[in-house]
Amino acid sequence: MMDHLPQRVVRWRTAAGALLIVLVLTQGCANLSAVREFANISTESAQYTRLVDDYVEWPTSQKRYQPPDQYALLDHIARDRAAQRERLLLYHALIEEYMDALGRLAADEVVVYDKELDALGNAAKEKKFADAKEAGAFRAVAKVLVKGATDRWRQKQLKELIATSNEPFQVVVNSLRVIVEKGFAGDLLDETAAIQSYYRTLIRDSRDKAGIAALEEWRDLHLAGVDTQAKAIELYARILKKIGEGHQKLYDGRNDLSKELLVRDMNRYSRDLKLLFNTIRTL
Amino acid sequence: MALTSAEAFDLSRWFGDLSTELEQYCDAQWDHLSSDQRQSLKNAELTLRNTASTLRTRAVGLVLDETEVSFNTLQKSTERAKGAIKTLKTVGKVITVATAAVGLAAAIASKDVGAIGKNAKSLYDAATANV
Repeated sequence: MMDHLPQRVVRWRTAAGALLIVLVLTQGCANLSAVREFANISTESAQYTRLVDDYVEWPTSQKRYQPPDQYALLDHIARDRAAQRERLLLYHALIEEYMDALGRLAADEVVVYDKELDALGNAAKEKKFADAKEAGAFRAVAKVLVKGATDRWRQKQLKELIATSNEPFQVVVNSLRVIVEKGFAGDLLDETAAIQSYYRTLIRDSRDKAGIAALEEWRDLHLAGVDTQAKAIELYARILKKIGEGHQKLYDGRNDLSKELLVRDMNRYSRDLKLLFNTIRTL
Repeated sequence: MALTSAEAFDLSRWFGDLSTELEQYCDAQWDHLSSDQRQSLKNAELTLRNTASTLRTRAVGLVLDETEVSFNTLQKSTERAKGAIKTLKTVGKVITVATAAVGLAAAIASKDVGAIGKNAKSLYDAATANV
């Protein structure tokens, strides 16, 4: 009886030690679904590049409201914009890639080692290092340990990514928002004025009532098209603002990404982004 | 002094607004203007509007230039994050290698030469397989 006591103590100590390790490691298994959701909808939103195409094609489309002696200048502006196209698309692509990486680091399904761990458990059993019961336990503990270790490591990476990227991310997202709000929206202000001016001149010179009515219809049709584009620009600027604000929230709460208040905030940002993005897609 | 993107956007808006005001003035005074005056005002209106477009295009280019450093920094962070995700995937390979190593260890313990060779090959295949 006395001989068995030290062995039992050793077993209990070993078991308690293993349990402690498991508990410590499983503490890393935080729920990052809110971060993942926000990253995913941001990734999807960044893929919306129709406004860049409109911006590049805009000078050419303005030829319809201007006399031929202005075409050379409009072609020159169109060439400058075509040269900017790739850089603008790179801004979209970078936000998309960054958010995709953020979402992957916050994802549960990034690493699924079950197959490998089952194989490891079976190998241990087959090679007589463990009986069937022990091999099952070995497999189960190994799964928890590996998941805990990788989750903790991943969260550390995620936290570091958010911490080091927030400043440049805010600059990149904000600069794209400025381009959308001032550059793309500025085009539409001028186009509205150009349409009004063009049709006013035509209508003033016309004596035909039916012709005037037709011209007014065309004018209204073009103005409606500009209104739709303006709505898309306004929505996209709001999307970029939400993405920037959401990332700032992540930065502020990076030390505890599964904190209830932060999760609630991130869920709200995701809901808002989804609503805005679904609306812009219908335009 | 070099123009900033904010200044270029402001100038662009200023020229755009001026063009619109000129057009509205021209419209209001149409009946009192000579044909030459009308043409001259219309030309000025278009020139101002196209100047606004030129400045706006320049402003967009300046925004891209001014934020290039941040763009490059974020690009590097993103590449690092992608590397971290790749590392996570390679953990699966480590476990596969460990599984094969268990087989080799057992073969060595049993001193079965045939099994040692077979398991050594399995371990080599696992270690060198693409992730």
